[in-house]
Amino acid sequence: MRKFAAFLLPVLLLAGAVGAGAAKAADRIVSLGSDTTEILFALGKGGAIVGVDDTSMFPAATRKLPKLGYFRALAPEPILAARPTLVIAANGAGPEAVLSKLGQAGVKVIRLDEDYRVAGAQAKVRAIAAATGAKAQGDKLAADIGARMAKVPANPKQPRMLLILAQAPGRLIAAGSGTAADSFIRLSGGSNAFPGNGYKPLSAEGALAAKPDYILIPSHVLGLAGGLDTIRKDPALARTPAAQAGRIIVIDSLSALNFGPRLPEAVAKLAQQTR
Amino acid sequence: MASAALRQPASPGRTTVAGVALGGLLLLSIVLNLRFGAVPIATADMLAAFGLGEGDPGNVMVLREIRLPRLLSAIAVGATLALAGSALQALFRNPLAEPGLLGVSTGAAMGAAVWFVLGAALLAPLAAILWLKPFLLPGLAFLGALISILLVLSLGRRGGSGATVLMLLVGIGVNAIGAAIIGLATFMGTDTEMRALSIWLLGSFAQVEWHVLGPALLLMGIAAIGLLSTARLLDLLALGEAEARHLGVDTDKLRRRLGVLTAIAVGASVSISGIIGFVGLVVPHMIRLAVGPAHRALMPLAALGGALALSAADLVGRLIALPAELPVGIVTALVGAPLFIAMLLRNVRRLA
Repeated sequence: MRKFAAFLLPVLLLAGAVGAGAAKAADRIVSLGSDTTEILFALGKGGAIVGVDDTSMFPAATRKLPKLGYFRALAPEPILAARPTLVIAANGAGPEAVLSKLGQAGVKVIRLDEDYRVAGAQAKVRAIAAATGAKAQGDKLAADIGARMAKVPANPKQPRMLLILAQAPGRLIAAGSGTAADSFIRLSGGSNAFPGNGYKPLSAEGALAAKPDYILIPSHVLGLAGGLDTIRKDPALARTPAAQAGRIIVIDSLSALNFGPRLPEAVAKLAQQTR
Repeated sequence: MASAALRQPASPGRTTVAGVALGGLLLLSIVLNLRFGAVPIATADMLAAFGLGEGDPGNVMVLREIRLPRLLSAIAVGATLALAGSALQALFRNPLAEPGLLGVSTGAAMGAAVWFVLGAALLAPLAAILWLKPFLLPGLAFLGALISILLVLSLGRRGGSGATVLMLLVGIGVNAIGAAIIGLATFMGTDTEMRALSIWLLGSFAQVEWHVLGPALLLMGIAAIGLLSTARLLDLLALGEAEARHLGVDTDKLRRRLGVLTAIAVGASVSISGIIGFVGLVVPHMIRLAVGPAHRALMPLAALGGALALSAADLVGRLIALPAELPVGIVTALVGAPLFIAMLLRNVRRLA
């Protein structure tokens, strides 16, 4: 018996030491937002993530992580069940009462701001880096985003672009000013053909009046909209210059609209496709 | 319904059995709700949450700050919605009557839509007062419910002897106005505001907090007691409006009283959980089929049944999609609607 205890004691001590060391070395992070998740992975913190929201679908490693619900309609308990020490919440994640409950439970909650500019993407990167003890990587990644953005060639033609979302086939919504889509269009050298503010329903006349040279459709709504063929034949869009010339472009939703590390490539790709 | 009330008075035996069965099931639902969820919790933690012994502090927090307020709100909302439903069905002598039909729920949702879309801009000075902020959404929802029911009652009263029918029709009109204002709010709102509103409208207990729950519980308690106390008058009303008046029931006063009580009940419940359908409609029907239409037995049992239905639905919503959860409004509609149809088909003759 004593022999057994003598054997057990160092094992227990060792286990205790390892446990304490691990807890200090890294946070257990829950990321609520596709952009925050992508940035965490880009900062090399992917291994510390113990749970993500449903919209976190990039990189592929997110598939193995527990999905804790849609990021605007979260519940506190699923998040706490992942035993996080740090929660990083994208703008719009919530409801706010749920986030404040996490704070009450002793979890550190970082809320990020919404700012659809390159500087905004860089600020998000720096804020997440600062919260996860990766300041150096953060500064490097932010500078890198700026450098890659600077290399995107200017588009002198300023083509008119119309970015559409769809709730169902035939029920189209266009992105107006103040949206991530609007900012993405302007970064790529285009001008937003839709004059409204925010996301608004698009009528047939509104689409004609917008005279888009290009119609952009984010990849995640392609299925909801009924596929590329349905969009091409949509009565509201069919008579626009873009549809008649077959200039309908599917953009990768996450890289284009997340305002994260892959923004420069998404912008460069669109700029090249619309030159 | 009038003749049914005379032909089959609720048998005391049946009522007792139903009461004991519903009470037992509710107790079981309470224990299961506290015990199970995304965070694994030991029995010791459960006792510790009520001050008995020691438990893991994190788990005790989950029980006290998340599961307990959530469970209490599910019970209170279920009970008050079922009570409001059974009172309105009796008042309008129409099996379809429920807070939703009269525009009360839509009115409350309209208040919420105003909060989500205009809240930031218009109510900033009010929201700046820190202690007031959590009350703004519940307050607006309650105000919306009250405006709706006052419209229904005051316009409906002009119908004289046909007041009941007119009120139902006005309710449909109020519903349309409310839905239009919600639609207008979503059109004016930004994408974020629109999504916040549509998620809130789904109905969920995920964001219930003690400081919001307290006032709402108080209001629901007052409404529940008030509604229960009308049971005898509703039994007389079941004989017919003229007959009830001959028996000394002031039907106008009863109508006003029920209207205000319903507004309080629905406003308070919608404000903490959003719109949860089918409980107010289905539960009173099920209880009526079990114990008959006498309100003195029906109403307390409907309250028990509503509490059981919503707490069980929330348990299912919390467990079925682990580690995430399903809003309770989806569960009640998904389970409640088919159950309701099945029940109707089995009892077509008794209801007709």
